[in-house]
Amino acid sequence: MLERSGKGIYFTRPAGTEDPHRAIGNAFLPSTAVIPLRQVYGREARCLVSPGDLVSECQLLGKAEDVDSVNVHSPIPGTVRKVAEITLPDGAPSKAVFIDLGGSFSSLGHRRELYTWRKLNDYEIRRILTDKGVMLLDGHFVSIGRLSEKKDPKKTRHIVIDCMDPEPLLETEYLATRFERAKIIEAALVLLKLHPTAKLSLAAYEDQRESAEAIVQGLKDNSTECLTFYQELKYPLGLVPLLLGNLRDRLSRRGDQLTEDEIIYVNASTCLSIYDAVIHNKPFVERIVSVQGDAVKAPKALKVRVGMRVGDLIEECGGFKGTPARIVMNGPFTGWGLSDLDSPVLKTTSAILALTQGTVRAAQPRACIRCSRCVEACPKNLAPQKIHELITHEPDDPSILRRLNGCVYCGVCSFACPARLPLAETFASFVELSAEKGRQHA
Amino acid sequence: MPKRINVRSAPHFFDGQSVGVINLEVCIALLPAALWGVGAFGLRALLVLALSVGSAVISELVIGLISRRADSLSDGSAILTGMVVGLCLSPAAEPITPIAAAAFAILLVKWPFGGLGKNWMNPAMAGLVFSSLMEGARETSFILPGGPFSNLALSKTSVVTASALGHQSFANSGLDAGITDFLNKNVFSWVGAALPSGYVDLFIGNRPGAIGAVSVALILLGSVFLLSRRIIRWDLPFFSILSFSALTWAFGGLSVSGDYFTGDVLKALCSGSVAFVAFFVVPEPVSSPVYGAAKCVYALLVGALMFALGQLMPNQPLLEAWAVILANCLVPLIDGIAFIRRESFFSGKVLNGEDRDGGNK
Repeated sequence: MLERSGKGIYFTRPAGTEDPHRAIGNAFLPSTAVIPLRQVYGREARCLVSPGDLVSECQLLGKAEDVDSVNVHSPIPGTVRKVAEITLPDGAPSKAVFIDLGGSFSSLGHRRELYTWRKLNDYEIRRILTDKGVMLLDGHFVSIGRLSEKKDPKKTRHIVIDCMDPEPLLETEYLATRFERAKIIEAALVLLKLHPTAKLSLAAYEDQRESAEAIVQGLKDNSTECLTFYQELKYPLGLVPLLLGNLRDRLSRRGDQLTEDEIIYVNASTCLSIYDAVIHNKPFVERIVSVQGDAVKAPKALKVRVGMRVGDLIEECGGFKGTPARIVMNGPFTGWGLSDLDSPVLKTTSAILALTQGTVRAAQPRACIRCSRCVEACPKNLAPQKIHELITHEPDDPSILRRLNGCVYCGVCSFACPARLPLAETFASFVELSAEKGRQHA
Repeated sequence: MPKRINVRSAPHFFDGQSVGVINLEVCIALLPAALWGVGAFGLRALLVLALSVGSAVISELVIGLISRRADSLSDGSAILTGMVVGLCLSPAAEPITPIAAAAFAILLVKWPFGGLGKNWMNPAMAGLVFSSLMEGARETSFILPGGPFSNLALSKTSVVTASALGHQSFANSGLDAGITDFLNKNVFSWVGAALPSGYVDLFIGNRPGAIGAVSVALILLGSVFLLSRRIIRWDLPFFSILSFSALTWAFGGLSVSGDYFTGDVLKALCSGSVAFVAFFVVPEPVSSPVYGAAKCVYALLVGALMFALGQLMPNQPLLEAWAVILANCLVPLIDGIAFIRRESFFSGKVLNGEDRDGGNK
């Protein structure tokens, strides 16, 4: 499934992703939902409920305080059992609201209304997106409605709709692009309304040509031009920094020089939540999560309420097959290893992977054998072997940060390392620690 | 916001080739050549192999226990070192030779700076050089195949000891005559050329030489396996054979006919241990450079040294091992230069603004 090659790893889609009978199912409602007030990135939202409160479906639970936090809503109707601190997958704590299912469904079970957003002005659309807690799921992890506080919408010259699953074993974007084309088209039009000066482009893997062309055609029917960029199925080409770098290279070859601030990056599943918020007036409480991996009995992609326990989700996919060595949220290269099955599905969760040791193949690190595989594999032409040697032996060397410049922590070096040295992990923690030191000195 | 240290353990899966798997697969790739050596030279060869592997494993075990890293055997590198040592020795070697060579390799080359990954030259080659210095060239003379395979139309008619690089001539087998005849009639006649007799014997390994290095055909088989598994890269063997062949062609004929560009490349490649060293020793990761350009320079250097030493000391054994360890001594220098050049080459790309803060988010 994976093939190491120079500057990256070729991969194939997970078995069943391209199955013509594939569909996105609906997950059962969880009996208990855990909604963290911080969706991993950014800051905690201010809690608006207290234990014992009755909450209705889609009721606001946490109010965003600034651009770095998002509103969170109740995915299920019921009673607030407690508001307690939990540990998020990234290892940091966050307050979370625990809700026990009960009461009646007010909004999501009913037939959805269609709102005519075209008459709204951009301020109103932004307010809707902020209210409904829509956040960018990749890249900057901020509330889209308040993105204008970080990036000047008048300066935005390009909007990229990313239909690529950034890592192997992921399929959410693929399925979203295949099954929800109409929503993506509509969401693209919403984004263009917010950024009237921007051009639109679509990035996709080569095996997604059919869906991508259908979307471009749909946009053309709405008299909107859209460029397409295709990439080969190779990790880490789909990772945001590399994708944007490649895109800017290609655009500059067309004579269009763009800086990072002039691009807005949105992926397909974000488009779905934009659509739900603006067209259905529905808060971000549901998303597509794919459950994959060789330790899952029946891998599926499901529409899942945010806050559902990972364990319940895996149970719905038939439970485990064999002993899972790792349970991972999001991609296998940059995702978080989960320590327990009680972790909730977050707004940023696109996949849950359960992998057996046969796939993980983790082992105790050994000494570097200078095989140069990391150097060959690095998509940024860094020298992971040398940098790792410096960090372990001469951590005060001032050249380390310079040599790490451009590292995207894609993990290809760690993947390729036969000695199982935690290269990318060491680099990430080194950069983080030196940033910490820098703050202390300042 | 609480102060946090981001605990990442990603990636969550790894390439199948761990250090242990790589060593195991190199051992598998060596097996055909080793089996041929045992078949051609008989149980004596098996004894040499067993002694060198046993000595390497016991040395590794002992020093692993002393340095409290008893798991170091599990990476298979000691077995591999033992195998390479044994395969590069003559089947007629005294029992002490493989034992001393393998023990020297493990104890004094691999471990002084901390075991696998920290050896300062190729352990097997250094052990071989040590053993050759220890007892001199007398006992490292090579013998003609006389094992079980000799009955398969491979028997030679006369017994001549040949030196390491096969400068002396010896008689050809019936198989050689048959295949050469067939090729000349059916293949080479088309292009108007003729293959002299003796090369088929050299190629399949029916010749005197080191246990594992005699059969070029089976060495190529093993290296095809390693290349297809991406364990070795094509460039290291290619460039070492390239420089050896080019120098042999240009200057190898001087001592025979006195003319330039008359060297017998095919004979030079198929005799001695050049092919073995090029495919199984030069690509050994620890003692070879890391960066692309340095790899090429290193390989060219090993090839050139193999030729030069062969010319300077035609009757010395294990010149290939000398060539490798001499080149090993230059690896830190070559690699350092290549690293600096590589960095300045790519830094232009990294620093032009777009990637300046691309990742540190």
